[in-house]
Amino acid sequence: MYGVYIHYTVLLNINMDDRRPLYQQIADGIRTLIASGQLSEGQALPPVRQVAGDLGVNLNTIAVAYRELQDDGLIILKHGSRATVASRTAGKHNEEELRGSLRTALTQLVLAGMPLGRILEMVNDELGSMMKGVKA
Amino acid sequence: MTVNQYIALIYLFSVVVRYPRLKERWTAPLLRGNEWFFSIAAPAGFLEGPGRGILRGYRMRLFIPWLIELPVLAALVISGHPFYVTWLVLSTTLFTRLNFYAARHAAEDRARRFETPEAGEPATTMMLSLQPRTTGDYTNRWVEGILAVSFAAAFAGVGYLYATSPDQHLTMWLLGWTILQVYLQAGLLFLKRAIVSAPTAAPATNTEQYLAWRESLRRFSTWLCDSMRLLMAPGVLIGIVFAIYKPMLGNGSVNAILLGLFGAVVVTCWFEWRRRSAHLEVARRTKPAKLPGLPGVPAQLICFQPDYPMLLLRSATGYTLNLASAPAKLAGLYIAGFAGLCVWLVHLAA
Repeated sequence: MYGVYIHYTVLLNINMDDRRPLYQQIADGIRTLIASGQLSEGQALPPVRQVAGDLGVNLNTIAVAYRELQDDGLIILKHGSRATVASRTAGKHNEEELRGSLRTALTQLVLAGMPLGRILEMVNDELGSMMKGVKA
Repeated sequence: MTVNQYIALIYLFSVVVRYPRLKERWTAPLLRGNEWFFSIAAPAGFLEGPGRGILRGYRMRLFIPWLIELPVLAALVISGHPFYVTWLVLSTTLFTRLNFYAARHAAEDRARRFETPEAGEPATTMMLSLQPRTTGDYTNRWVEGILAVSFAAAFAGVGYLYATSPDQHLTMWLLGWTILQVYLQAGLLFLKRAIVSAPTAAPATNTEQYLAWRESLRRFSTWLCDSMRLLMAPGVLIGIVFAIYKPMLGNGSVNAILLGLFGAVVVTCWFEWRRRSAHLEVARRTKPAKLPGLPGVPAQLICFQPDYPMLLLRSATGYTLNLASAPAKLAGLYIAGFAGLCVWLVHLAA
């Protein structure tokens, strides 16, 4: 009856030294996991109560993160059932809106004084590692 | 066998059962080798230096319950009250456990002063598993089905006795006993739910291994909960069957009941031993990780901090009552309800 149950679970990294609020870290982390394909379409996410219990935080903190992901069209929240990852094509953002987010991120890198080559290298690295788990 | 012989047997059994626990507690501080003292990262040479006195003090404290128990036992036997030995065994068992927690707490507090500074700092990064887990994932439909049928049969038996037996006093007592058993089942389910929802954040190093052992421990603990529930279910039925067929059973029925109770105690001890072994195995294989903990406890008499699943918390100035934690309040209400039911049962038996 007693043995080691090894299950390859999807892990979310939480850093207490991060300047972002906790709900933002969780939302960003799940966003990255969906983008990299580690969380696939239809996959269930843990209930808000479970995540809040694991981290020892208020239920609202996690609920805010989940709502943000729902607003982005990344997860589906239904009352009484588990939150699931939405279809990747179901995103409701248009290209101009997405380009705006990219512009904001790039602006931060430029303002931080990074040379163009380093920015391109960084974008390529991030994109490469993110697309590893994505099926063509 | 006479009653006194039964009591002597129970006492001997309790001594035999407690010996491995004493041995386990004796070696508990050094479970992970010389680099750790309980969950405190010990510096090099700690056990040759200040650790020696701390370890000796901890081990001596383990014998306090025995020092109290032996004179009381002698007094009970000499004064001709051997029946109270069973109560002595029960209270000593509880006291031994509390004494262990206190001794461990005190030893860790003393050892913490010598802890290496970097080991004392909580980790800033932790990993969180996104694997959903609910009580349903740890539920066996067969077990639930057997329990439902057992209790339905028990209530049907009580109903039959109510309609046919002239001894209404016994019927009411059996009804109370069955309700108490249902209450205990609910308590075990509550415990199972608490086990499933226990925090499972993991350190950033050895995450997979840590989570795998936590999962195995969770599965084992929920299995034990279910086994205990299954073990308790026939007890109700047997009591009712004995009451219905009492006239057909001879004097041997009392011995059979006592033997059955003794068997249940043996099986419970075996469960407890397996549970302890599982916990020790996990403790051996996973290093203690200091994860970012809960915020500090306020120093008022009453606090409203739902993050703490404890009704009574230790704060800087004494003990604090946490009225905001729903699980803690539920547990408090459950214990109060259990006490109420026991009082009712005693009243029925009188």
